[in-house]
Amino acid sequence: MSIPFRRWRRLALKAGASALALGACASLVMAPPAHAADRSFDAVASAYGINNGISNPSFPLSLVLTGSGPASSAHLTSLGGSDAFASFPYPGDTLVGAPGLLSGVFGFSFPNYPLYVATSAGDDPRSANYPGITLSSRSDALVSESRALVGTDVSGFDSTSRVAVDGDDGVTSQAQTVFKTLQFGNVFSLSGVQSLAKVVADGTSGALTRTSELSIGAIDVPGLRIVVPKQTPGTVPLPIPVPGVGQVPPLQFPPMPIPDGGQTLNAPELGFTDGAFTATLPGQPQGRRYVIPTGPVLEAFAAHGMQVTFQRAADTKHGVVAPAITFSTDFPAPPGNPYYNGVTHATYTLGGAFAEVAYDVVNTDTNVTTPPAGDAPTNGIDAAAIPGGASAPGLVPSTNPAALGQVALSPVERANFVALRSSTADTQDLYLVVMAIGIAVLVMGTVLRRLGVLRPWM
Amino acid sequence: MTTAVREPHIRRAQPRASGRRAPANVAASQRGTDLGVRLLNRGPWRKRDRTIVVGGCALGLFGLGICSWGGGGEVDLSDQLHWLVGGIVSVALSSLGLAYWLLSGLRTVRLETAGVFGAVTANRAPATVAAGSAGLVTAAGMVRYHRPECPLVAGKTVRELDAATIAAEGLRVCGACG
Amino acid sequence: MDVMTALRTHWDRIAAIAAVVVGLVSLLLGYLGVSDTEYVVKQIPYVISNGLFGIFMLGVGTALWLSADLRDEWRELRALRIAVNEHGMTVRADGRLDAEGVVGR
Repeated sequence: MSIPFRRWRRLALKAGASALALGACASLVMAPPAHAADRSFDAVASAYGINNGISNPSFPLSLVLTGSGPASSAHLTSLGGSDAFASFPYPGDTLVGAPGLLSGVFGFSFPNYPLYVATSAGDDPRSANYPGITLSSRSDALVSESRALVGTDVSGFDSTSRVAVDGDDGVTSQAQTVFKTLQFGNVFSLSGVQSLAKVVADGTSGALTRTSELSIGAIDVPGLRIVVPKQTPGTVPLPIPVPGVGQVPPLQFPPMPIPDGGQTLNAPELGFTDGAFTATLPGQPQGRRYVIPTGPVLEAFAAHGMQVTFQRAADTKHGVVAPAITFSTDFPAPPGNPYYNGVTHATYTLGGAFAEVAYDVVNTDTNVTTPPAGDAPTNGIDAAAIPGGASAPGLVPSTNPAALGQVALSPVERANFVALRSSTADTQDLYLVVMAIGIAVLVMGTVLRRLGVLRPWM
Repeated sequence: MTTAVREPHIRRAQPRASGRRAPANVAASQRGTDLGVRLLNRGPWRKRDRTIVVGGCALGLFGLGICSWGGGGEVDLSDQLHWLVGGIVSVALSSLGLAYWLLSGLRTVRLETAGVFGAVTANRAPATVAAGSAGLVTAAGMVRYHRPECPLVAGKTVRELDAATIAAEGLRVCGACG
Repeated sequence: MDVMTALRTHWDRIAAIAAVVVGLVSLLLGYLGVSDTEYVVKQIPYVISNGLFGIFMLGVGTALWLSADLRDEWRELRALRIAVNEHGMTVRADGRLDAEGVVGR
C-alpha cells in the first residue's frame, strides 16, 4: 500500500526529531562525572656534560674556576611552566644573568651571553649556530627539550634534556650526555662516554621508573700499567654514610683466584660501566671485556698522577642522579713568571645527569593531592647533597610542597591548573558551544520550514 | 515549507495504462512521459547553481580535512589555533554555498508563484463596486482589505469597505495591492 | 509506491536524514574525545575534526531538507501553471480550478 507524500514528510520529520532527541540524551548520559581525578606534575631533566674545576695559587682570592658543558636542561610543569636552555660552554646562571642585571643597574644595554639559548612557555623554538657549536631549545605545552652539540653527531659530544607528556598522560624526563672522544691534553683520553638519567611516571598510578647509567667505552692512559692480583681480597668493607651510626664490621669472604691473575696489563683497553672497570685480557677473545678489580686500576691511575673517584647512582624522592666519575690531576707548574705560578689542580667530573618527575594525583572533590603509593626512594638521598656537581645548579628542581604535598590547594593554586591543562569544565564548555551551534542550525531549519519565508498574502 | 497561497490541493490521477506510475506529488493534469520526466528531474535550480553549491561544499570539506590533519599534528596550542581558524573558514565557505543554493531555489519558487497567479487570473473580471465608494473591498473569510482589481479578490463575492468599517473589523492592508 | 521509487523520489530527504545522523554522531564522538583528556592541545583536534565536521553535516542535512521542500513547491506550482496554460484549466467563480480529470476539494 503506497504512502501518501505528505505522510512521508511527517514520518521523516518525526524520525529526525527522534534522532535529535536521542543524540542529545546520549550526550548527557555519557557526560563525564562532575568531579574527576586530576593530575599535577613538576618534571626536570638536566645534563652538564663535564663539570670541571681549575685552581691555582695565582688565582686571586683562591678562586676555583669552574665550567661545564655542553649543558642542557628542560623543565615542564602541569601549571603551564615550560622552559629549557642549552649552552656551551656554560658559565653558570650567575654569569649568564649578569648582562641583564647590569643593564638594569646601569641603564646601559649589555649584550647577552651569546653561547646560551633559552626558551619559555609560548616562545618559538630557538637555535644558535656557531662554528662547531649548535644549540637548540624548545618549550611547548607538552614537550620541553634542549640540546647542546659540540662538533658533529659523528665525532662530537652533546647533552640532551627532554621532558614530555606521554600519550597515556604519563611524564618522561630524560637527560643524556654523550661524548664520542675526549682528550685531556697528553694525560689521558676517553671515548664512548655516555651518562643517562631517566624517570618515567605512569599516567594512571603515578609510579616512577628510574633508570641511570654511566659507561665509558675506552679509557686510554699512555703508559698505564695494571697489575691484576692473583686472588680476591678476603674482606669487603661496608661503609655506612649516615653520620652518628656505628660502622659495621667488614664482610669476610674466602679469597678466590682471579683468572689471569698476577699478570701485568700494559696500556690495556680500559672501559667503565656503572662503577666497574672493564678490560680486554690478553689471550682472550678480541672484543670481550672482563670486569677487573677496581683497586689495581685506581693504584695505576695514582701512579700516573691521577685520582679517580666514583659516585654511584642515587635515587632522590622523585628522580635519579646518574653515576658520576671524577678524574683529578695536577698540571706541573709553569716556568717562573710574574703572573701564573704553582701547580694547577684540575678536576673533571663526567656523568651526574639528573632527571626528576614529581607526579601527584589531585582529587578535585577534596582538593587534596595524594602522591602515588610505593614512590619511596631507595636511600632517601637529597639531590642537593650530591657532591661533585651531580646536582642541577641553576635549575634546582624545586616544587612547591604546598601544591604537591598532602594539603588542600588554595583557590589561586586551583585556578593555575587551567593555565595549560584545562580542567574538565573549561574546554568542554567550548565543545558544548560547538554542539549547540550545530543543533541551532537544525532548529533554525525546522522553524524556517514551519514559518515559511514568503510574504504572507492573506 | 508552506506556501502563502492556499490553492486547493489536486488529487493525484489514476495510474496510466502503461503501468508506469507517476509519483504522488505530480499533479494529475500532467500527461505524457516527457512532461512527467521534466517535472521529476528538474527543480528550481540551474546548472550554475548546482556547480556553485557542489564546488563550495567540496572546497569546504577539503579545507576542513586539511585543517583537521594539520591541527592533529601540532603540539603547540598557538599553531593549533591557526588550523582551527582555517577549519572555521572552510565551514563558513561551504555554508555560503548552501545558503546560495536555498536562496536561488526560493527566488525561482517565487517567480513560479507569480507565474501561476498571472495564468490563473489572466481573464478574471475584477470585482465590481458601487460608484463613489472608497474603492476598498474584502471577501468573506479574509483578514485584509484589497483594491477591486486585486487578483486575490478576482471572481469572489466582495463587499465594500469604508475607513470606519476597516478600523472596526481590524482589517490589514493587502500586501499585493496595498 | 515501492521502495526504489520512494528512494528515487525522496532521495534528498533520505540524504538529509543521513547527514543529520552522521553530524550528530560526529559531535557525540568529539565530545567523548574531549572529555577523555585534560590538555587543551589534545582537545583542539577533536573540536576541528568532530565538532566542525558535525556542524558541516548538520548544515548539509538542513539545506537538503529545505531544498526538498522547495523542490516540491516548485513542482506543484509548475504543474499548476502547465495545467492552466497548456491544458486550458479555468477558475470557477468560487475560486476553484476546473479541468478535465481534476477534482477540486
